[in-house]
Amino acid sequence: MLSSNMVAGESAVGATQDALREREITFAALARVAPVGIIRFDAKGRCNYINDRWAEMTGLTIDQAIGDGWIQSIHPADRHAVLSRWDAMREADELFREEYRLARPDGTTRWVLAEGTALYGYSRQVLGFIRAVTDITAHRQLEAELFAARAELELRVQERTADLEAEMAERERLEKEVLEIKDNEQRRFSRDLHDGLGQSLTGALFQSLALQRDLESAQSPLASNASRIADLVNRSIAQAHDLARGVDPVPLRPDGLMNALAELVQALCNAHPLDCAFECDEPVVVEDNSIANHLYRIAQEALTNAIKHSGGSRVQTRLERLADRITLTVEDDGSGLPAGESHDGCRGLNIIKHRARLIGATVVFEKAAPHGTRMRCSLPSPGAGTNVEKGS
Amino acid sequence: MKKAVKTKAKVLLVDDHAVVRDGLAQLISREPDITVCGEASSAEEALTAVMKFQPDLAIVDISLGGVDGIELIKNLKAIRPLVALLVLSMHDEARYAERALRAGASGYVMKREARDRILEAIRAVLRGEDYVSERLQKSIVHQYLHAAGGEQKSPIDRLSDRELEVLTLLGKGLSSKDIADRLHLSQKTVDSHRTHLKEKLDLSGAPELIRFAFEWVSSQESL
Repeated sequence: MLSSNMVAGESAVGATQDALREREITFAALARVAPVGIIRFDAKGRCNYINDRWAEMTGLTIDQAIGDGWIQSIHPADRHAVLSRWDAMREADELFREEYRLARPDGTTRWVLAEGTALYGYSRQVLGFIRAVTDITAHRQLEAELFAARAELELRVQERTADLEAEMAERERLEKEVLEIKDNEQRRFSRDLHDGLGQSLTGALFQSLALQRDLESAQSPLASNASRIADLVNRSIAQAHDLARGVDPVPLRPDGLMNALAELVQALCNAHPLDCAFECDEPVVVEDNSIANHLYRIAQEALTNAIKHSGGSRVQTRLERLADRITLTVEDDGSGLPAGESHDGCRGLNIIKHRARLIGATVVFEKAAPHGTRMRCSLPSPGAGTNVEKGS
Repeated sequence: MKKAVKTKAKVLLVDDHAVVRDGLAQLISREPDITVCGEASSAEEALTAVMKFQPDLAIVDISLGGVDGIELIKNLKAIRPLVALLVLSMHDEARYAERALRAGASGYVMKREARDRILEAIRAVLRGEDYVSERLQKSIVHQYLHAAGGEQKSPIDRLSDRELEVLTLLGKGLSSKDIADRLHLSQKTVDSHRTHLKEKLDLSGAPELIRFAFEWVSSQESL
């Protein structure tokens, strides 16, 4: 091996040998103190050296590791992969890194990171190979724990989200039920007013009119008392009627919502010094009375807001069916909504949003030009595409 | 009512509320020219009673415990065409009067207005006149629908076939576009029919026209 250097003379040979020895010593010292396991191979890939750390990590002695003995340190499950990479690496002549498991004689397993390189002679001939092996078991474990923790967290977030979604759906369902119960209750109340109270009062009215007639025939001065009773009862019938109508405003007819809105706008027009208009250019038929009722209440709330809070002089209500959507618009020319801050109308706005959500409608409040507020509530037309036409 | 009456007009009371029938009977019994000949608390009873008592007039509540009173009016009129029918109802006349009149009733009185109107209405209907409130009389829908049967020519008759067709489809819930598609017309043509309808029927705007159209269709259906 060193034959080419022989001719250089005694002293030269001596100096070279010293230098080699020195390197040998340095390597041995480094290998001893290094915190990594070191294993060295000859040019054929046979182990010819391990440091103490490598022996400690693998649980193998130099006698066991020598030659191909080191292979038994590799976990059987990883052995094939490690060896094929090891062969490839020796062919390819490059630095490499790999992670795999060690199977120790005591039955324990350890994860290691191996980094290797070829050792070259002066004329770039391969002298052998060296692998430095770092124990990354703790690191791997941490990583696995972290991974598991993250997965666990994710799972819990998912569960919580599902819980929340279920909770929200349930709440929505309950809210809808509550409003439906309320609406049904109001309808029942309305019927009771009509059929119960209204009828009794009507009976009482006729009785008092008959009494008045009797007293008049007898020329009794009490006739006027009977007349006053009849007046009072009559007024009560009107009140019962108005109450009943107030709690059940949308009649169960295809054009019920259109008519109820027209009447609502008319009534507000009569009661307030505002210019109220109702626009409905095309028939808008809402067969679902619950939806019709919600839309009516939304309009009522929006109109009340406009009248009470907008400070404007004009309120326009529009009902239309556009592109298979029913849209209800209430627009005023007032001062607009105070941005962001809570104000009196807030409750009304929340009620509008709430009712809109229950019937699957979207609702937006926007600035109207040049000033004022526009509420637009829109929902897919329940009978979109199908005509409501009935056989005539 | 100073009119000399030889025989009192016979009135049948149809109401599922005894308290209303009692009160009304009390009131009518004070009148010299009318008398209660019988009472009925359901549609079936009413149909039997109208044959049994042969009343000149039946006063009918159109919400008989959920039964469609409009249907009852038609049936009463069918089995005894001579009986005059007066509806006495808690319900708003704007919602029901037209249908009741189209079905054959001659008058409509809301219970809230009964104090001043019931006797007047009874006598008017007995004289063979129609009786509705002034408010309803002013209603264009009413004028047109009701004039249709009389000698006066109803504006409905003045409509062209196309206009009537548009009105009917509008009243069935079709939009101008739907109508244009259905009749193979341009939407512009349909819109111009709508303009003419408003003019001929003297209606102020689109909501009024639509309302009229729905009333028209429902009145045709209740015939």
